[in-house]
Amino acid sequence: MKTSLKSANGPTRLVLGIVTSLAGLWTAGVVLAPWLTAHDVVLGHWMRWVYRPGCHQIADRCLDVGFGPMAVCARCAGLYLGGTLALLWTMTWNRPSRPRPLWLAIVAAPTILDFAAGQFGLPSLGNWSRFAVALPLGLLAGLFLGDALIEIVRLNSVQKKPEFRREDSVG
Amino acid sequence: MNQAPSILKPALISGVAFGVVAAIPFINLINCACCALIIACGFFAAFLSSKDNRAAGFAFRAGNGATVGLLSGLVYGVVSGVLSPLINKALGMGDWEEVIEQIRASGAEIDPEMLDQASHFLEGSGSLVMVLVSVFFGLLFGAIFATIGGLIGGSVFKVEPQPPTQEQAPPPPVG
Repeated sequence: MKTSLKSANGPTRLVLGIVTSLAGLWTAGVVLAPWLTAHDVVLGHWMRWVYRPGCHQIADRCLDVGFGPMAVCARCAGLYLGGTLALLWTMTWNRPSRPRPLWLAIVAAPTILDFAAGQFGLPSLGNWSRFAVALPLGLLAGLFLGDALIEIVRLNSVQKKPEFRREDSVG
Repeated sequence: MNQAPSILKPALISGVAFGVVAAIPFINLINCACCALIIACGFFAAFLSSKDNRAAGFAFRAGNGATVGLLSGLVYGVVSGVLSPLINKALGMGDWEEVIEQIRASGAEIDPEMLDQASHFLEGSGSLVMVLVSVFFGLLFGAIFATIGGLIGGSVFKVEPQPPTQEQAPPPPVG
């Protein structure tokens, strides 16, 4: 069994690397889109459209790091960055860092409350606060996702390996 | 030999429930928070499936969560894709004019004549095209984000297999 787990380390790191890279590109695009738009590159406009289905993109609720509003709101930016960092962490250590499920509910509560407050017209957090509140939720979701990916890869690696000669001798 | 519980029922329940919610105007704005409704659809499907598996004594892992999440996302895509344009049309709300206006306002270099033609086509082709396009994007985003929700749910609601109970060995003979 230990041999199988060791041999699964390569594939898990590869899969985590691919997923982390994709997540990193997705997160980087959030900043890249306004940068390209600020430099009059049309691609920036189209990149914003890619993020449109998942975010309202209201300019007042997006962070601005000097190039114009990001392609997603502050909350989404926090979620994406948190998730990417968690996947990076999991890929670096190449082992699950699954937190207790209760923590997911705890870190989700502030974001849910802030979202609900906004929908009902109640005072809600500022952009950087919203980003900071969403970051832990993204982190934990990323850790669970990393744990899930490792488990899938390792299970598949164990199943594919044929059973070798058993060392238990009889008699 | 007992079979593992079917994933179809939790996928259908979750997909239909969240698909209907997503079709309701204003409530579907929840999807503006990183597709929260779609992710929640997969997450909830994983929760339901893990409950069934736990009750039946079967394991539930991330792979199971991903599978039931994907299936629920597809159901979500069809339900929300069909209902959303119909409800919007019934309420007199149209997305396409807003989309075309946003494209014009964004300053993207698109031939205005082409935009006008697209706008006329969408107005003239009726609800069917809107439903088909809506179903397509619903399936696409449902498959991706609900699978992610199912993966996370599979990890959160993990159920380890029950160790087989050893049959009691007969007592050693006395004497």
